[in-house]
Amino acid sequence: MAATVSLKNVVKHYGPVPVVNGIDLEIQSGEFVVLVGPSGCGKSTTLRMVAGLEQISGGTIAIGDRVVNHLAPKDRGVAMVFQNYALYPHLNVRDNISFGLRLASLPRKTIEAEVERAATILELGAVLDRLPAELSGGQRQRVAMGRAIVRNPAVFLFDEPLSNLDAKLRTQMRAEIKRLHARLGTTVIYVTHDQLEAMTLADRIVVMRGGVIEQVGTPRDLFDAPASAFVAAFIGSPPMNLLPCTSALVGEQLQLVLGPDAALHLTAPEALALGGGRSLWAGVRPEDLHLQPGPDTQPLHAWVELVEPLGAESLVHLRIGDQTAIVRVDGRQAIAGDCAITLHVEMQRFYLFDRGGEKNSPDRCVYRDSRVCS
Amino acid sequence: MSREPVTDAQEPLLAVLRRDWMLYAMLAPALIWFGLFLYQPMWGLQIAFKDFSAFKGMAASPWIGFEHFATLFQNDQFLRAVGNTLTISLYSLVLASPVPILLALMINEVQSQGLRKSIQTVVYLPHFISVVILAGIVMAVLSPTTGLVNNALAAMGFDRSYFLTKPEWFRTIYISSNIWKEAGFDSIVYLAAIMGINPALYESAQVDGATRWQMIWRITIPSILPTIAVLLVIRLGNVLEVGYEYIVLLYQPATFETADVISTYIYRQGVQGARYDLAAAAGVFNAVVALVLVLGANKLSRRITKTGVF
Amino acid sequence: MLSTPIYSSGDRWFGRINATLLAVFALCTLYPLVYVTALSFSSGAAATSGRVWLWPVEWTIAAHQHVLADKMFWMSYANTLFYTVLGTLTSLALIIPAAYALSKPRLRGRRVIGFVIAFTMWFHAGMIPFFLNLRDLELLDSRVGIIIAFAINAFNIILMRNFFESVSPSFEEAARMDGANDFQILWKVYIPLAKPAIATVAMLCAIARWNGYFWAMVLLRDEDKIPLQVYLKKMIITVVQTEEAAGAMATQAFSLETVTGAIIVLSMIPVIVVYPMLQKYFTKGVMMGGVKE
Repeated sequence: MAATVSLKNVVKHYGPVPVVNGIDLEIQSGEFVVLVGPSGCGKSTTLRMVAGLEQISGGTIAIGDRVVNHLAPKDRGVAMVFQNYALYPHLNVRDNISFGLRLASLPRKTIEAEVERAATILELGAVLDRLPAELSGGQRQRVAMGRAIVRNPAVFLFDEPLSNLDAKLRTQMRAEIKRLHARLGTTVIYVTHDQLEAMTLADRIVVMRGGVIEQVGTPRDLFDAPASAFVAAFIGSPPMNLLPCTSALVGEQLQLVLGPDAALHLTAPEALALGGGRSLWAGVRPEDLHLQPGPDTQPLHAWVELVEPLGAESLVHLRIGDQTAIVRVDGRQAIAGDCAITLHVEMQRFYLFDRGGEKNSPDRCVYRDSRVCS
Repeated sequence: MSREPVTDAQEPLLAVLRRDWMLYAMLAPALIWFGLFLYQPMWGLQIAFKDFSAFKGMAASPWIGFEHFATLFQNDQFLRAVGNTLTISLYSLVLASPVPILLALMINEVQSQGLRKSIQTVVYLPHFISVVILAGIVMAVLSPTTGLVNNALAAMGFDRSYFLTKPEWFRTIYISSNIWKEAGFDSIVYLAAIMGINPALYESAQVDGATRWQMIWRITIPSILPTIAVLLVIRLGNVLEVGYEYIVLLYQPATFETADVISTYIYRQGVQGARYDLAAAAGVFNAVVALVLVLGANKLSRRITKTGVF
Repeated sequence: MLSTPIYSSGDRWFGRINATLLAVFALCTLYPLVYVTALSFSSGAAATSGRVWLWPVEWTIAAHQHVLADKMFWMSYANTLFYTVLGTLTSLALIIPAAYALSKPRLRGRRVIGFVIAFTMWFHAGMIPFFLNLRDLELLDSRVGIIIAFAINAFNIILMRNFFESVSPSFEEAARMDGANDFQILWKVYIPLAKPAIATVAMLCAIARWNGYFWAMVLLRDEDKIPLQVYLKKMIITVVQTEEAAGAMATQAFSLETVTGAIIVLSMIPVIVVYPMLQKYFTKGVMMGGVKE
């Protein structure tokens, strides 16, 4: 039942402005793909083009082996779950779920069976006769999913479905969606601005910015090997610390000056090949800065500004030079605020990105895993 | 599927029609109605520029251009009607406009929900009564022999008077009965505007020690000034609109002097007198002037709401 | 406004005076209606001699009986019901689909069509061309004419359209994903959603129909077709203005005045009965069509 989805050079203009500017993406059958990015990056528009709710300005979209550019939504074999549920307020849960089936004049027995099936999967059996106004947010979202399920689509489309829920409910619903996908095996395209949802749900994540794809990869890939400073800062919470620095060739070392009393150096020959005088971002994740030295660490002097105790861990806000950074430490460590501290950077987890300075420069990754990127 | 997709604005008309034909089908009956009942008469407006003879029909009647208009502007009755229209309208504007505003302010101050609801119920009611009934009530009340007003006058030793035949009384009767009918309902808009005022403004004024009177002057009125301004301007735009359906019921030849307005003149000349071409010309004058006023008023109100009174 | 404030004595007096003035205004508003009702239940003699002020004098229902005995009265009542119900339904049938179509941004020519409709609020050809047009359409002296010729008011279309525009587009999108076409979306999704707006528009149409008299008077010749208000006009206004009938009617039991009162009371009954149910809708309706920037 699940189908592949193929986007080739998909473009969308609103007037002269390209909102989606050339998207190429191949989605496998049964894959759970998450489109993630800041507002205005074009992820929702791309989803809506796959759904058939927006005209495509350029390129082709194919579902299965059919090009669907000019097909109406109902002919594409897709079903969509909306951010604000869009449940028909005057219909009860049963009628909401069966709306599309009744429009298609399917036999009553079939409709009832489908509704039962969806209700069982989503545990909505008890509320079938209630109106949307009488349901909780989580229940409403499940009804919206039920409406999508009964259409037996080849592709599920989710448009920020959890944005309207509170944090606790979001965690719960995330798990439910993941379970649903495991059970039904349908291809899913899921849009969100929340990188946590992306990381937990996706088989592959598509990071978008300014109408184009910045990087596609598994959550692990994006976390360990971000292709650009943008992706590095986007994935992971708290985000990777990106400290501006300039490179300088000093003897046999590439020195990276982060502040008056803070510098790191790389000795590998290919690192030296990067050259001096480059504007770069030095990237290191909060969990890769340690209080104790280790086998491959370098010290960094910093000033503790603020400690946020979270229980299991604490987030320490630091000042390095005139930049701020965050470190994750074990919650039981006592860190004094407002004093100097020496941190140890795990060099295996140290990144360097170009610091282009222009608005649209990709700030690509040039060094990671102790190697220069190709 | 080999057609090249194009941007929305450039979508070919045929594709749009194929996709949205149902929407156009929904529009069609209403548009046909407009064409048949409101736009077709505009075509028939040409009668105002012809010397119409029912015998010859529209097409064959000779074209005489603006002659009818010239006739109208030399006709005492018509000029009197124009004068009356403006007089009644402006008097109404000045005397009747403040009443709904005042009512809204006063109703808003009532603390007791019960009293508030009852007052509102009573005061909105006359709007739903037809002008015929209103005219009937006015006639009953003002009847020279049996009416309330005259009975009261007689009881106090004054002479009875047949008010509805006296031209000098007509305006008063018209405007005050209109206030009775519409002031309550008209106050709803102002009440809605007042309810939209942020209560924090009042609360902080109360802490500062303001009296209710002061709060009305310094908070309520300034806050609804934009609404008042816009509605006033719209009213100005409609200055040629006087309730002729009501006047037709109340006036008589004896009071034509002050009671005859443009639309009643048209009614008498056209519908009753069958002088279609002349009456139509008067109607054109009415409509064109009204259009100019309304457009001017709209522009003015847009400028007011954009820059705000403050 | 303020919830339960603590008032100074000056403010309390303000409140009392305010409430008193309002109560007086409300009583003045009620009084003519009360007066007319009292008249209708008084004897003819009492009315003619001017003894009726606030309550019926020499209670009698003769005037009411006289009115109810007139076949024309019932005929015109039935006509009004006919015109009101059918007229309102016709209006809704024309207005709602058009407003829905106009509310869709994808409608090509939307601005032009909207202008064509709105323009009629600012400019009409006038009484005479409108009348002559109806004559040419052979709709004079016809019930169909009364129902159709006054079916649409541009303001109502705009009100309905604004409401449809305020509905979240997600509903249409969800329905489209479910495979619905435009007709189905309007009928099955938007109309149920629009119940309050439809009720408001229906109410405005119904009131205009019920109270309208002028064009019915101008267009209808056949007495069997006239609505209640035209009957009222004939009985009250025309009769009073030509004072002949006054003398003919004066008896002990009822007089011209009490009969006038009775007609007014009897024709106001439906309005008064329906009025409390309408209160909810017209306050909202005014705000919907009200001043918007």
